[in-house]
Amino acid sequence: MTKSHTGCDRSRIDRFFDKELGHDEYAQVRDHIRQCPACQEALRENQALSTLFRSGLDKAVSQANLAGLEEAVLNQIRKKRAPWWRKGIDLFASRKLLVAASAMAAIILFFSITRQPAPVSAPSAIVKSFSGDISSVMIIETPKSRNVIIWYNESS
Amino acid sequence: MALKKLLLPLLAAFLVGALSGSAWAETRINIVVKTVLASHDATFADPQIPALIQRLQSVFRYSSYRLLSEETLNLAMGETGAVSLPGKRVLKITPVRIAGDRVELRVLILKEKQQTIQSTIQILNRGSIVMGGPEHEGGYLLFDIFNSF
Repeated sequence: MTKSHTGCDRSRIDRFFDKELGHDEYAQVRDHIRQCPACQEALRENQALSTLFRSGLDKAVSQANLAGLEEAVLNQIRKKRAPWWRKGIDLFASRKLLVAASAMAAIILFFSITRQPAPVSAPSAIVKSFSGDISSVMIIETPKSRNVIIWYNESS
Repeated sequence: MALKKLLLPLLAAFLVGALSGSAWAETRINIVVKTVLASHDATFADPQIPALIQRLQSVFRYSSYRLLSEETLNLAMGETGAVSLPGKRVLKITPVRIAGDRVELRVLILKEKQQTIQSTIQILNRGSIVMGGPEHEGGYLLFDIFNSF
């Protein structure tokens, strides 16, 4: 119910309180309120409700960590603005990636140490000619390392 | 106009080729000759030649390997270097040419100024060959010829 009697309009009283009325209409309602106890009561109710909301908001604001909130917001902005290499550094510095990278490095190191050396592909020397005052000669190639040895016996 | 554009690169290529060719001709070969006495008389592995002993032990069964001498030569192509060997012997080495990753050496061994061995060998860069067999003081002489260029 918005109207208690002719001239009273609760919605207009609410808008009057919120200062949403035009200049002329505001003056009319103000003059009516001066003469109408019911509308004065409605206005007091609006005031009490407003005071209640405001005190609650003030209490919440006083308890909020605004400095921490500001820092968190700025960090989010910095993250979004960080260059790709910075994001890479942050990712690498994270513990999860560090553990995985350490495990991978250990595995690679293990296999590199235990791996057999690559076989030699060619003999160390090629004997194109050999002659002399000798009774016998052997040309030997060592296994694996493929080093060449010429063993000869001088003629006595 | 096109010729002018090509002139500078052609000139650069000519200079590079000339310089590299002359540099190759001036390549010097570093040769290290180690003389080792191998015998059954004792049990001894000379600590100065562990790698050489390991290679020799894969073929021979001597109980003693002793380093008698080590000499270094630094030779240009066509230049002959000489190394004195035990038993009035002389080793003469002449780099002949570079063949890929090998150097071709002409090797002579003389005993009492008489030529006993003549050989042409191509050795890998940073590789070696062992020549051995002459008897000496109860053992046998081995000559390890190492090269690098």
